Amino acid sequence: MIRKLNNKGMTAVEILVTFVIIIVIVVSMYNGILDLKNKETISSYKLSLVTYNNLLTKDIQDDLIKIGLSTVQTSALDGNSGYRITMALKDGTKRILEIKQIFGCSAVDSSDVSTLCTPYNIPENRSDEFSISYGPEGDLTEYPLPDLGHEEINNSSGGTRTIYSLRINAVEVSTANQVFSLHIIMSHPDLGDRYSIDIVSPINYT
Amino acid sequence: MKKNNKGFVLVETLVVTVFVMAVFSVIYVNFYPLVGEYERREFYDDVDSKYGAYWIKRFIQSSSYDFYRSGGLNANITSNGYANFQCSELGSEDRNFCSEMWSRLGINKVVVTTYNIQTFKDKIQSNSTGFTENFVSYIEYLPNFEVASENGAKFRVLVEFKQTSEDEEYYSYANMEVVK
Repeated sequence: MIRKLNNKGMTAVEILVTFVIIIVIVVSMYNGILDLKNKETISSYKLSLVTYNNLLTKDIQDDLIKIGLSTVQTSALDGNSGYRITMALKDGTKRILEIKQIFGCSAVDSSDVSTLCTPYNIPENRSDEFSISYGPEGDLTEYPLPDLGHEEINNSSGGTRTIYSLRINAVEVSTANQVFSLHIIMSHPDLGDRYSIDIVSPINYT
Repeated sequence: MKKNNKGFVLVETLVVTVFVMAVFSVIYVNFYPLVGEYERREFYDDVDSKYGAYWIKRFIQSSSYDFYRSGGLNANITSNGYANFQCSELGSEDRNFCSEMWSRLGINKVVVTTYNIQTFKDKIQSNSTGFTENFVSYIEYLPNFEVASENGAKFRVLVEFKQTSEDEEYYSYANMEVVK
């Protein structure tokens, strides 16, 4: 018996419908995959920042808890480029915390320089500089901020300046009522300012 | 031999589509709350809250605090399963430190209970009046701490912090054992 083969193949309409369905599925999945990729990047940024904050907080709090805080003095760094916090401990030693906070000119277009940089006395060719150093007097250890993305912007006079996504936005220090509190507000476009450094400790508490 | 090349009828297609949609809906409904739960747990026992709870534990452990006085924390824990801690119960010097720390740390509520929190959990499950929904979630998330403390701690302090970031309020939590 000769068996008849099914060799009809697909019609043009069937192929068209199949393609349309596949395109719809791929397009709808593409946005989802991009969203997941974005979430993965933000999670890795979050992890880096949380690890950084934990490490620095632990090193400072170890000294404040194990030795005890006696007095705190705050002064400006040279050229008003940040803060220097001198913490005298109960064993007579001192710990220094230096927070460098120099804002670069973040204007992407030269037309924005007059609104984003000039009013705040930020030169057009200045790059961001943020860093935190901590340790005994004369033996500070630098804790470089994690690089969670940066942008190289061309200066109108030639060369480039670097603007980091993670910036030290503000530093709040208080010693009122015998309690020392330090709030280093770090902000990132994707993370906001939730992942900041908060240190609170009583002064001369027995 | 005649082949069956009729394909699916509309009803069959509809039934399969509805079934697949129902399966996806069930998966979504069960999976989505987990994402929110994960984000909330990010601020459970984070380093800042842990150090904040440490100072509250120090105040409770201080000699200026009469833990075992009549109507004090221990009495309330024995009768109620837990007790709310207030700085006003401390001696004058500690009270000032505690009040200032309380305000700077953004503390919302401090609860002291037994080291093993199983009874406390049962209590909260039956009546959570005075606790925020987030605090109840944190308590449910914690283990019971059934293995005895190596430091001989008999009590545990749970602290709720109210934080503000970019005008948005959120809560963080921490717990510490209390040696008293």
